[in-house]
Amino acid sequence: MALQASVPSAFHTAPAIAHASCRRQFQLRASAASSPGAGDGKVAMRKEPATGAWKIDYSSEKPATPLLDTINHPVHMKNLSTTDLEQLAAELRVEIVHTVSKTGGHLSSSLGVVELSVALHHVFDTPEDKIIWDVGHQSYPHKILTGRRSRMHTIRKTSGLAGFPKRDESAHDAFGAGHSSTSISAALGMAVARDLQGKKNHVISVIGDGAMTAGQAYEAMNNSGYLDSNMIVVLNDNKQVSLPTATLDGPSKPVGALSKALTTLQSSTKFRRLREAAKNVTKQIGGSTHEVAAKVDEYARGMMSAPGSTLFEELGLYYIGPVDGHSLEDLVTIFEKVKSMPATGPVLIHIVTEKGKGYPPAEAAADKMHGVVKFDPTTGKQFKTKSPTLSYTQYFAESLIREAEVDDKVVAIHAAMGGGTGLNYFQKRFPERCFDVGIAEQHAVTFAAGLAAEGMKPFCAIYSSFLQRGYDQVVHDVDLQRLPVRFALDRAGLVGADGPTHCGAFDVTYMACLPNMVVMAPADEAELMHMVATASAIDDRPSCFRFPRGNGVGAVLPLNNRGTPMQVGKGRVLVGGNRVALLGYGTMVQACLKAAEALKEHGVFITVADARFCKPLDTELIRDLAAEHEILVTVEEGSIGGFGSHVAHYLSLSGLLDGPLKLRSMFLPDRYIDHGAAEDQMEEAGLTPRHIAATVLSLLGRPLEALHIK
Amino acid sequence: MPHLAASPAAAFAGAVAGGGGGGRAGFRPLPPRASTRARASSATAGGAARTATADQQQKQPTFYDLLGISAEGSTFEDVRAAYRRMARKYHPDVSPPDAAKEHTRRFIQVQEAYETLSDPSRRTTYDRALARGVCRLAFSPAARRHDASAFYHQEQEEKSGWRTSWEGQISELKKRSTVKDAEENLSWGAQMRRRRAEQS
Repeated sequence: MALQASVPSAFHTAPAIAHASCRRQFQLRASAASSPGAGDGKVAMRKEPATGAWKIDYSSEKPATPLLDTINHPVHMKNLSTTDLEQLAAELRVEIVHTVSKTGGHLSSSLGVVELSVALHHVFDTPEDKIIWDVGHQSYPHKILTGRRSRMHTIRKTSGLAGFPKRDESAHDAFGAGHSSTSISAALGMAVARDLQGKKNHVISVIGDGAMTAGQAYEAMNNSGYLDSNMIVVLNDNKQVSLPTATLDGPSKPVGALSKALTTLQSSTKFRRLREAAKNVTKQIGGSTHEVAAKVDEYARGMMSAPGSTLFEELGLYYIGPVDGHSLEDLVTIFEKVKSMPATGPVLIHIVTEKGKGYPPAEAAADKMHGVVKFDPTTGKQFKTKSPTLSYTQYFAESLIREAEVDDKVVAIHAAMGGGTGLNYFQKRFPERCFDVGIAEQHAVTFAAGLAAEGMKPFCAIYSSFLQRGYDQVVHDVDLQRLPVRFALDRAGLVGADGPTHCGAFDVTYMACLPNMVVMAPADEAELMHMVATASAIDDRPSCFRFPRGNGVGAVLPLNNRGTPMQVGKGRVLVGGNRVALLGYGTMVQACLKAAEALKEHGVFITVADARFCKPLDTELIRDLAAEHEILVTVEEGSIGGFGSHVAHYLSLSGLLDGPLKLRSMFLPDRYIDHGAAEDQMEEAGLTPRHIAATVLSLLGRPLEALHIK
Repeated sequence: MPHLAASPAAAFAGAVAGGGGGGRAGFRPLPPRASTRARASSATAGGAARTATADQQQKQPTFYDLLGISAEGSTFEDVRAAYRRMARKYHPDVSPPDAAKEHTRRFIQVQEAYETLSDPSRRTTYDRALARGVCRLAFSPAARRHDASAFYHQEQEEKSGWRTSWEGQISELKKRSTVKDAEENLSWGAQMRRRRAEQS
């Protein structure tokens, strides 16, 4: 067809549409394609003839994705050949890079599992078959293939797709994820339910080598080996046993002994040497001797299985691997074969992938571009917005380093979140005093308790929502024994695009109910530095302080970034007023200050106080506020049972609620706030300055003004 | 197979010679076999030559020998410290004029060794190549441009090694799964599968 010749096709093989009715559409496409960008003959995506691998050129505009355009549901993938699947994988990569470049999100983990996702959906039939993605940040290809491609531009945005699998979002998302290492447990539960109900579907869980460092994965494997129910565990090994995956100087070395076991699995030298020699012999002898040698090989294989696989075999899972995780042919073969066997029990398929595969800037980056903001697809350079202030995380790390400089007992512990908690900076400065324990919060807490018992000053920097995992250890190992472990709870409150799985709503509640814990929260970054120093000074009991995601407000920092310890159990009054007092806890104080400003225009001058401590409460401050005001409103970014509850209980026990005082508490509502922009989430939660001012006005008997406030 | 496990190189060199000789006598003169016979005979000759080159390669130092560190257990820090030591020793600027040429050659080799051993993925590939006995001083400066394809081919070979191993595991699993649900297996999963099989 002359048309085909003139079209500067983006593929070697032009699509074989030959109907006359389509010719007109084809003409239109041709004219669109010969626009200046593509008309210079530059090919954006082509198949290399020598190796058969697809080569994608990211420097031009986004190439067309004809095969991916036809996929709206996994059933559309069933009839594709291996060659088609490889083309589909290349198109998927293009789609992911271009989408994430516009929205931000998790890039390289998704790129690493493109072939795996394609193979899984080609072989298995979701939603009847269940695929459970551990952590879930690698599920972008899965979402694209299961009919959500058109909405991918909304991912992690308000009212858009979630950044992790979510059962409410699609029937193909079998189980919600966000915290790691839960997939095998969930898969086992689904497999057992299937057996009890007599169904025949398959259950597959995909877990990474980083998530394997958590104990729950072993608990699940142990149980699955015992129950012997049919299920498949895909171990996605990209040798990145720590996330986000870099120290300041480069890729982080794998944490712990597990990675060594996995590497041994991949390349056991002695075993390979032997088998290579055997292969050479059989090649040289040739002929019938080859068959004998093959039998010998089989027996030898049975006797000398790859060392390290016994770890999984001992737990009762049948080990298959290592497998090239980027070879569609291998993956499809293995999945088809395992699917066809009726009684396999639990099977573990160990695939080896490369994080960020197929996108050179990600492959080269130290952190492999794990989590990115908007970037330029051509170069991989991220468009990081410049802010006048640093993030709270950085201020925390800075002040902790200063503390450690004067006190050599200060050590820092984190659970595979060196980048997220800012402890990478601490690690660079004091390499032997920073401990990354892998994704093991329970161990981190008790480990810190052990350190404290022997006289060290451990700072445990764990996200507020991740500390939920180690809560019993906080209660039983730290608080009950009154060991001075300091907890730095980052990402407290609402966290924006990550959504409710990462939201730190509950830490005030679960920390302040412990008898021995000192619980405090800074109103700004200077207060944060002082609280780091305060925590360092509290040596007779455990303490914690929480700070949110986001940047500082521009407070004046203490000299040399070194805080001074403050008096425990003492708050402060920031703005004086009458009739109404706002008692804020944590960075909500900033919202209270803004509300006070807004109320001035309505002729209302309120008092704003910063409680600083939830435990022990500044009872003197509360008494004074109660005595001098008619209305007291407590404000916090936490769930019920937190700061507001403690104030309410104190007031009622002291009889201060028996008088004319009106008490109201503002806190996070009793539901999960969906992911979205931070401002949208605060609107949804009802904790913006506007809401605070409106509450004050309606309590003052001016409801109409409350409705119309700015 | 104890004799297989011990000293593979010696055992197989012997086996090559023995097998080649025995094969030649045993093969009937059919055309395909003839080519095999030719291969076998050249293998013995080649085997002898190969063992010679193997000896030669034994004498050639590995990157580890060049840097003076042990192959196992040496960390990135050891590699870097050794490189610095060697570099200071062999840098053309600090070497005496009569030894300049030799030292320059050495320095380039040491540099190559450092580049390979300091990069974890290149080091792993090099270790595997060493294990195969394929190369010792793997990459001479002249062959530097072949690095990429050399790595690629080594990786491909390793991956095909993987394929053989998992193909074996799959066939083993297939065998096991046919007998897995026999009456003796009392696991919960087996009981449920038997019950479902009875019902359908």
